[in-house]
Amino acid sequence: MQELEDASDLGLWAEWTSGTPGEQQVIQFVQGRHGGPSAVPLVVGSTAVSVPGMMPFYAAGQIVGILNGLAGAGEFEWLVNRDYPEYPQEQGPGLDAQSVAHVLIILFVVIGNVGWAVSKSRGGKSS
Amino acid sequence: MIPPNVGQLPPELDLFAAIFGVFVTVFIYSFLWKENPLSRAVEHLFVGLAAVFTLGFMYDAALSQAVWGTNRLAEGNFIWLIPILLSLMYFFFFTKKYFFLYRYPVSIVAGIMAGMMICGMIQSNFLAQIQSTVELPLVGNGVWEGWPMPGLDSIIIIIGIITALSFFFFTWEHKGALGVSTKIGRYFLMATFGAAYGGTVMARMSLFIGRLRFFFETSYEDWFWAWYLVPVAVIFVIIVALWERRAKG
Repeated sequence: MQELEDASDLGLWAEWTSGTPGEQQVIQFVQGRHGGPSAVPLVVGSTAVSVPGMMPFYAAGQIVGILNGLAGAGEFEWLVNRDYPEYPQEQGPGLDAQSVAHVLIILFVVIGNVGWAVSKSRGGKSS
Repeated sequence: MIPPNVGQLPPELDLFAAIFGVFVTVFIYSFLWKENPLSRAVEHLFVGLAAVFTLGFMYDAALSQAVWGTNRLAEGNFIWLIPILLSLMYFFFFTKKYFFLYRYPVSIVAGIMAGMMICGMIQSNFLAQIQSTVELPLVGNGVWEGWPMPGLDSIIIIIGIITALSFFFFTWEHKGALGVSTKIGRYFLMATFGAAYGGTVMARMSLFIGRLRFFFETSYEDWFWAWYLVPVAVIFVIIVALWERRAKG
């Protein structure tokens, strides 16, 4: 660390965030002051809620990689296990539970919509 | 200075931490059933702890900055006298006579922040976004490589940008071609908000999964598992909620 003078000396900036300050502040204050994304490449690990807001920055190359919430963490563990077996990652049950939750929510949405359509066809309230 | 192990319980208190964690988790989630004295108590506990934690970190940061600045002064680097004096001027907030001096550091900090924010925002949120949109390839791989149809994602992005921007164009009435464009733009905006909302739901779901993992994976010396206490905590909640209902008549 002694030979570092500013952020542009870093090979990669990895930001783990769940809000503010987060990737926006790194892009504005760090990349903005030290020569842009090519000088300070940024990767972000974040809760899923923030990721849609990051996609324009990813598309513009200001962020070079995103770990998208629990799913992204699971994908990362899988990739590490595949490419670096010497660093085995325990793939926890969290992602399975999340997948079940996804299916459950989709099921509820479908049931809700079917219920709404049935009640509408019977002349009930549509809203 | 805050000791480095602040917030960490010593190992002999693991059992206490597990028991407390189970009760607090069940009490706060009991809000989903109905608001009750236990959920309120834990809510207040959380707010109080967060406030004290923030205060501690702020104090620590301020103290370490003060020590760092005075060390530079001791080395003969007198330029640091300026920020130290400016920092001390914050204390004029507590006097009526010299309150105007308090405004100097505030205005300097606000000015510096505004300057940095404006430059950063224009560069990162405005110019870079426009540049990346202009540079979108219409032929070949677009932004996300690997799509089945080359360039399709670029076309969708361009249509989305133009139509979504037209939605906020209020100079003319949204009729005819502009009406069609704003309607398409509205769908793009709804899809964006939907994606953000879906992300919010799944983030909350992952937090809930984290708490469930705490229940089922926390143990103490092979005889205690955290989930043993979940029914006990639930019974507590029911008793207190019924007691409150009876007290209110």
